[in-house]
Amino acid sequence: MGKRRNVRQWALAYALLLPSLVVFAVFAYLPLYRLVHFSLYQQSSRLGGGERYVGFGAVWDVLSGERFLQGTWITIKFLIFTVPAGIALGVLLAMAAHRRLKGIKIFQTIFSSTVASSVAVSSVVFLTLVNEQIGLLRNVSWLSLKSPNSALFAAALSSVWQNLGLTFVIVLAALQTVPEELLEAAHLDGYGAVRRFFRVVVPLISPALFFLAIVLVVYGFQAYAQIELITGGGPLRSTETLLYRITKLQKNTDLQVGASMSLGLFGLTFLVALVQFRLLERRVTYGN
Amino acid sequence: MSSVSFDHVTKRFGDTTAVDDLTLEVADREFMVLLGPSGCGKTTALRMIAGLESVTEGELRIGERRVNDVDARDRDISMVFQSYALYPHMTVRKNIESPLVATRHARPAAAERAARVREAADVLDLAPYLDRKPGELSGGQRQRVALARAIVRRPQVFLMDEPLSNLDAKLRTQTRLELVELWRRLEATFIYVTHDQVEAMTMASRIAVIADGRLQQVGPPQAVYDRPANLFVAGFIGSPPMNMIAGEVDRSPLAGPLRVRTAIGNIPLPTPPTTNLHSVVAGIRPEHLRLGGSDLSVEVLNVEQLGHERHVICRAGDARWVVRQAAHEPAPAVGERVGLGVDGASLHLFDPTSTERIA
Repeated sequence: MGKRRNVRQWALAYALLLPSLVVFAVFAYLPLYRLVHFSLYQQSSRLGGGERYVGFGAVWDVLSGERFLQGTWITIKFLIFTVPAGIALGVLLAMAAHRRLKGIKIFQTIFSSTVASSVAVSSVVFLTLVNEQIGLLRNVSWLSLKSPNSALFAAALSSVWQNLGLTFVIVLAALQTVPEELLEAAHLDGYGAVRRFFRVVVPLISPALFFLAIVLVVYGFQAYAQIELITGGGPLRSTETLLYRITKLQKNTDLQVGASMSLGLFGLTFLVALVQFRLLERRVTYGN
Repeated sequence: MSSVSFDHVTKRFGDTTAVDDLTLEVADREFMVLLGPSGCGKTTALRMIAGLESVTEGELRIGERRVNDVDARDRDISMVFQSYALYPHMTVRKNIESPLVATRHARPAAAERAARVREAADVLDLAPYLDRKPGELSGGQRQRVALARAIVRRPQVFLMDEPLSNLDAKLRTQTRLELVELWRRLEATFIYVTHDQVEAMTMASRIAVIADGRLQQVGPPQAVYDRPANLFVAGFIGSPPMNMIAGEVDRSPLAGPLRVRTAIGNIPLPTPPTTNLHSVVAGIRPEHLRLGGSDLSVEVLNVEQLGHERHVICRAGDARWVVRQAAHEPAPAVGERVGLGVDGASLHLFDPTSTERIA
């Protein structure tokens, strides 16, 4: 009887898992399989012209090629511009809004509003700000979209702003879990405001910061719309991130290259997340 | 070590007055307990000493120094919080050491820090747990870590905000004793906030009873118990609480000996009260009532056995009274009408309007 019950329980477990397995299979595993396939086979330029096996050597050629490496470098710069600044600004805003003041809810709502606006909208708003004729920020040279030296930074700034709502909301929620008494105890122990923040607050909200670090890196890798809308990859391809380059490779004959670069991007994202887990996990304080 | 004094101190939050014109002198090396119901302002008073709340009016001094405008970290006090407020991400050792490393300019050398942490840990039996995190400790152990963190810096004044309220009853009794031992050993000033009158009675050198933001009475525990200054203190101190009943002082010479007439009988007065008041509130502690007397007549509602004694719950007019009875005496039956004898010398009389003590 015990065995029969066991079998039934297992059957039930798999039955309940099935829907999500199907979703994952169709939208994650199958595309990944197709991606590997496309990277290993060169498609014919003629429609329905078949395909030819080119192998891992061809994948490697793409990944060690100038197109991929330069895209990677631009992506890394984009991450350097967006991730630390995004977290720091979110923390600053959340600290400012984490007070028991009258009307503070209004500020909390305003600060978190970018969560609800689309990338397209915020990109257009940003474009307006830096517009050469009418933009409020048209004279700020380090935000000029005309120069290869500043365009990526400008796009990154728009990204930081776009993600600020999310960072703000997450950090604010984390701050609200830090017991008031703990900060008072730290104050009485003799810690000044700055050390109180780094010795007590940061360790306690570190899981949230860790989460944000990973999410923002992934967002950075996936940034596409703001690049397309703000710089269109230019000037002189200086803002063509990896993902942007991949999306430009749509022709049948380009599929092998695009698929190979996608594999490279997947590998990079995976690697960075892994490193983050290993490095940051040790510092993160979970629980009690 | 140091004294603490409140000089007409008031604390207001917007329209609410949390502490109202408090004048209280806590002597050097005293164990002062601020006692009162929740919301009475006792914690606010303590937090003002700590510097966690500002003083709205009046002057607050630690020793000879006026501290109204002194930052919390420069007051040289330690505080034990109700929640213990331990740093969850630090080991017990780091938690205890924390006050020693917090201020860079006044940081002792590493060897001295280690020695002082060791000493504090030894005093509170924490040596085996130094490398654990607070999450791995029991409630009682966390409480001792909080105490160790408080003593490690050797402050002038120790502040404690209901530090025993998160412990179970048995541990609370034990920790009470440990706290008093710690106080004797440190020869420091302790200011201790609680709503539990047993804690106040058992530990305090003096008790300050606070209600509605106002100081009601200050004195040694026994004095406060024996001569409560008003109806609030009379009802708050003592467990079971004092029995009360409204009555009239009968002064007519024809009525015989001086007495207080009540709805349930007459209470004899050994000496004339020092007042001309006619209406009074009479208070009698449960241990000063005797079953089988003939002064008052009550109905027995329940009998609570405590082993060493029993509490006889009675209906006395509109009120419920408790009579303490030794276990060896015969217990009354529930529903029975019994007579009560009153020792007039232990009677408390209060003015019903001002609620102040008359005699």
